Amino acid sequence: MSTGIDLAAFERMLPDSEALRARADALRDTGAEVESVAASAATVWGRLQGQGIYEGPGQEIVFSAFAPIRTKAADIAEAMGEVRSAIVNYAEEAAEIRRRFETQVRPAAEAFAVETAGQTVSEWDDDRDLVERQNAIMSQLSVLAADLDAAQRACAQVLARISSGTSKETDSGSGGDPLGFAGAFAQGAGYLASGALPTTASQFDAAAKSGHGLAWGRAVEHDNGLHPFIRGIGDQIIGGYESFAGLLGKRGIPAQLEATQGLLFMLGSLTGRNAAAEQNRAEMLRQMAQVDLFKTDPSRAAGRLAFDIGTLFIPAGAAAKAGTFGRVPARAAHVELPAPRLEVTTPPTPGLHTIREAHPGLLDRLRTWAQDHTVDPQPAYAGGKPGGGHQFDVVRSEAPDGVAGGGSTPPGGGTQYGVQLPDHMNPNGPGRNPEMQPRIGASEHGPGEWRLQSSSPQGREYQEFITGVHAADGKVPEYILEYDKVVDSVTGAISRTEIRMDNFHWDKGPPPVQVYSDAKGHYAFFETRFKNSSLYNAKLDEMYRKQFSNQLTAMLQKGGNTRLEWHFLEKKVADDFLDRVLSDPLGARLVSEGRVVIQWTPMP
Amino acid sequence: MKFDSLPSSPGASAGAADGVFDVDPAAVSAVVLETDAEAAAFADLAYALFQDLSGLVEACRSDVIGEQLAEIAQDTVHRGMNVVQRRTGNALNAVAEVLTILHSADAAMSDTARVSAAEAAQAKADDDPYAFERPDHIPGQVTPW
Repeated sequence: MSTGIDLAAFERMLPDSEALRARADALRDTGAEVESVAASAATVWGRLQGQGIYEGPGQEIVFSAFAPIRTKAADIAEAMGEVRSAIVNYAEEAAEIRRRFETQVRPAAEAFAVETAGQTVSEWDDDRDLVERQNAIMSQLSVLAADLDAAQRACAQVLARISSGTSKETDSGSGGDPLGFAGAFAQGAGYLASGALPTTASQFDAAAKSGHGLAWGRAVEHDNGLHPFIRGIGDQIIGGYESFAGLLGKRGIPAQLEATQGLLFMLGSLTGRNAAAEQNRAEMLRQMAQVDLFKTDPSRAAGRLAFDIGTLFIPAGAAAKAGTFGRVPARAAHVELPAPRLEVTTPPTPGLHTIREAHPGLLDRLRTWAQDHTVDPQPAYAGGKPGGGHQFDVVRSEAPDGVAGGGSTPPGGGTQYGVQLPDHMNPNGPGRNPEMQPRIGASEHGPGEWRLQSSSPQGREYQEFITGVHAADGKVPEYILEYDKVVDSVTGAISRTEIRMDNFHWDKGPPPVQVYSDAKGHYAFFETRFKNSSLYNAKLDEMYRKQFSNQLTAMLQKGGNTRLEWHFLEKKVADDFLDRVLSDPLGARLVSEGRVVIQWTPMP
Repeated sequence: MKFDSLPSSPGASAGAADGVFDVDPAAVSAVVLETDAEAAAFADLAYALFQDLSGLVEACRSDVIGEQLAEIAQDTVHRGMNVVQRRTGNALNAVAEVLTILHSADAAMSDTARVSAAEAAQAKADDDPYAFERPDHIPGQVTPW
């Protein structure tokens, strides 16, 4: 590169402000939903106080049980709202920095690159004007980097107050940091408390003048004829001493030695522990939400500023060099702070899972009692956990009793034997023949329509294996059915709703069968990743309640000789899900008839 | 003892004259089940909060912010949702246990004993889910200060 300025490297540090705002809004909304659910549950719980419902000595303990739950839920909602505000402020500041970058720096840098195109730096560094222009651009970037650093630290300070529960404390006036943010960051590291202070533009400039520069480039020195080696030695010794001593607010050789020792300690930490720390962070975050990004780019996922750690490893004169870099590593030092250990002891899903374990048999009795309760017509256990009692919201079923003939009429006219059905079956595996890809908008003599849908990358490979339907550009064709969903079991109100199927194809039989299928991969980690299986069970329950039962309802409404197949990559997940299906009488009957297939289908 | 063999329902009562539990098992069961159905969303919401925070960590491109978001995930979300879920479970289980004691426990148990047991079970409804973590609540451990 002719200028040695990598604008893309700088730009990578700038967040996408719109994405930040959207994510912050989502967090706030989820927090509000926690509060809303707690309020709703408390309202139901409050019915215990009705006359003749629950009376006994000390009943107030029971009646008030949801008060602390509501309080805690409100705290969570409030905290998420505060996080959102802090992030939005940061996003706005970052957007302004990006605007300055785009309007001020980029045009100048690109014009300069055009002017010096085809030349190496050493070919133009004897031109004082060009050197000054290059360094002016680098200085502009230093200012932007310093502003970004300040914005990030300001945001982090607010977040630190939220996590410590002191967000509403008034500022003590002592440096605007009542929490002791510097101390909080230094804790565990034992060095470079100054890392809590924003990096200044002059410190970035100093780092840019070093031999390795910054991630986005380095300052260029005017070639005045001295041997580069001599110039470098002088700069490093003088600049290093002044910069590093100034960093700590100290003067004199002892201060420099002290600072150097600190830096060397940190360098050792970086070389010896950085990988472990980063791995720890990534693992923690994976545990938080299993985001696959962390598998591929943990640094980016953890939000690390893209400083070139490699600039720290100086081949010679480390002590003198330390001063020059003294301030920049302070940022990198954050990587070394003990990552918060998220002991994901996911609490047990409240309620019946726990009740079932604590009181075997009580679950059935509760349901029996609830069915006897005629005062409130709301269906018991609308949450739909399997185990009995849950009814699919089937409006009608035209499923034939026998398999022969079936008596169904595929859309488009003609009986199912009167049309030429395509042979979709894959002779070499599950799903459809990969050579017979669905056409968007087509029904394929079925009751639905193929449409392009977004798909998650982690499940795509298995979905393609099961269905034979190929994805492209992050989207995959899926078969969409419309059906009548009961949205109010009391009034019987229905809503026209769409449901997605991973695949639809004809099994020619005889008799011909319309096969709907879905692929489920990579769920077992929910059980192994956490210290108990409540999240795993919750995911399976959700899958059963929100997807499987709706797919089954849709299939039965459409009628015909049909089969719903769910394929699982992992055997345990398949077994556990089958248990859920079999716990419902209708599900058990359809499984016995072969109209529902829950199957472990591993990939070769 | 079968619940439906009890002589009076709803409004079945059990207990001593000086401390009577008057409980409608069907109504209470309905409340427990419906509350549980409502609270089932907490698990999904906890998961969603972690996802939202992870998304922010990814999007912010800042180590210092990411560090603090992780702290919030730990201190506020994980711990807070733990309290919410455990307290909910405690309340549901306590009332379920009261029902069990009053209506299907050992028939030979005296009314006084049943009321006492029910009261004890009822008291668990307000259990602090983190009480066991406090040093002065750890059995056999001497607090150094």
